[in-house]
Amino acid sequence: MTKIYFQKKITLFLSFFILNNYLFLSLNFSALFLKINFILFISGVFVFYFKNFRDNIYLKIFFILIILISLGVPVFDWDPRSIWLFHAKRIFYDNSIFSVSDNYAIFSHNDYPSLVPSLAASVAHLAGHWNEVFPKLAFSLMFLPPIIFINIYIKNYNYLIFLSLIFFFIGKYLFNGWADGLLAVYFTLSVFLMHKLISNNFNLEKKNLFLNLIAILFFVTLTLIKNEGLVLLVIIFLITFVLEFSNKSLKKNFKKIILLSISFIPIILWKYFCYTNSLGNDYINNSFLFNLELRANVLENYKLIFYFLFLNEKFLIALFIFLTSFFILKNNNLFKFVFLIALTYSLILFIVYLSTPYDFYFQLNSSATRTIKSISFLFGFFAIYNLSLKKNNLI
Amino acid sequence: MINQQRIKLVFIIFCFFQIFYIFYIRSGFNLDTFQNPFAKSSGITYALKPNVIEIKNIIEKNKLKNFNLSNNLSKDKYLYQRSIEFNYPIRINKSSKFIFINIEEKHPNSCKIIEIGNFTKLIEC
Repeated sequence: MTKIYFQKKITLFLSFFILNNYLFLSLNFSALFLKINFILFISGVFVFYFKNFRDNIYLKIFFILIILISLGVPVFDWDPRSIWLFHAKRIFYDNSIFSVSDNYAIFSHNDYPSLVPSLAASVAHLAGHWNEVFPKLAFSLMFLPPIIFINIYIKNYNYLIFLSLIFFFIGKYLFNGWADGLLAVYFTLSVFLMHKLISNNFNLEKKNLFLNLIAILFFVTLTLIKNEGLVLLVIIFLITFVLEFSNKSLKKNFKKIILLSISFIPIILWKYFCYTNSLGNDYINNSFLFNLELRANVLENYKLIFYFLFLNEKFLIALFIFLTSFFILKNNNLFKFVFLIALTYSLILFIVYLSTPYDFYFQLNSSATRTIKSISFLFGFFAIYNLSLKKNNLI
Repeated sequence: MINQQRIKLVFIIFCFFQIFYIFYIRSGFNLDTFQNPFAKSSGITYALKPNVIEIKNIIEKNKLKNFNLSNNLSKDKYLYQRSIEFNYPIRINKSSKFIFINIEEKHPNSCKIIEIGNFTKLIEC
């Protein structure tokens, strides 16, 4: 088995068992099935580690260090406590992802998708009890499939640069129980896979079954991490559609786009469940248009959003290396694709902040650095990927 | 020609440096928690205020199936939310006869005191 084939297989294996855990909980399978599923997932991690220990050795060492740090970090922050780990705790005790239908503890955003909490609940099932620390390992474990996968395309020292980008942009979000780091990584990898499967000129890759399956699993995962994941996947599809249409290649790729769009099914089912149980979203309510109208006419508000979102050192570094990379090595199609996705998401963020039902300043201050993480990591990643293409003479 | 080995070494050091920075400055790492990450109460004294932990201890000691917080305590958003998530699967219930009140709060004569803690009192009404 070649190294690339092994990495694709292990990515597929791990991603499958993450989603299968969610599926088992959706279908009310007993705790025994959850334990077996999680043991299979962990055995996949062990196979990755010990099949050829020297392969990808730096990721293996760094990941162990992250796990060790995670085991010494209590859950301090509001989001991990009130949303992610509280949902995990509910899933652990109620053995279902649907127990939120009672809308208990309304502050915990019961409408949020619960893929990560469901994996955290399974970590607790395996240990046999709930506590505040080890279920959090689920967050770190979920980073493995995309980070292993990208080693197929980014190799040698470029892969080390990629890992340093992860530490720089994602940082403590690798283990502290927030979902924003996962969102950024899965979003970026989803953009990458969409590019590989649709806009890329290499037909062999487009038809690769493993790659198509991994794309679908990553897309589904992205939508089930956070509500923003759905918005991000819609943007990826929308921009793909628009660019393919403008390049007159939509007809050629139409079937593929439709096939990949089956990834929306799980989140649509979840949203349907929320709708039928009146589990609302804070942002989409009667005051949405009212707040938007009120704030949209004030220039100062745009300045404030711009300040919080973009005058952020990590975002500026990412933008700088992104522009420099594409300046050194022109790759117009990829640049256009990535830039339009980032631009569309930024515009949506402006609308979201302008219409927030919460205090405008508080909302920006408490979330802008996190929400822009997805774009920062996207830029940083594609800067490195673009340069690695030159090294492999792929453009 | 760029020396690949040298670049590799620089980024290995850079990665280790970043992990150390995350661990030492950003993580909130705590040795007590690390020494016993699988214990039931691991990390709680570092993550929660003592009044929240006290409520849980009283609930467990008295084997309550549900509880409520007085209006006064409910106004404290932190205490309210943390009590809900930390005590799950024991639920807060507005019609519960077991009510936590502030230590300085007066309770109606019809209620009897079950337990007095350092920050709160449990009464049964």
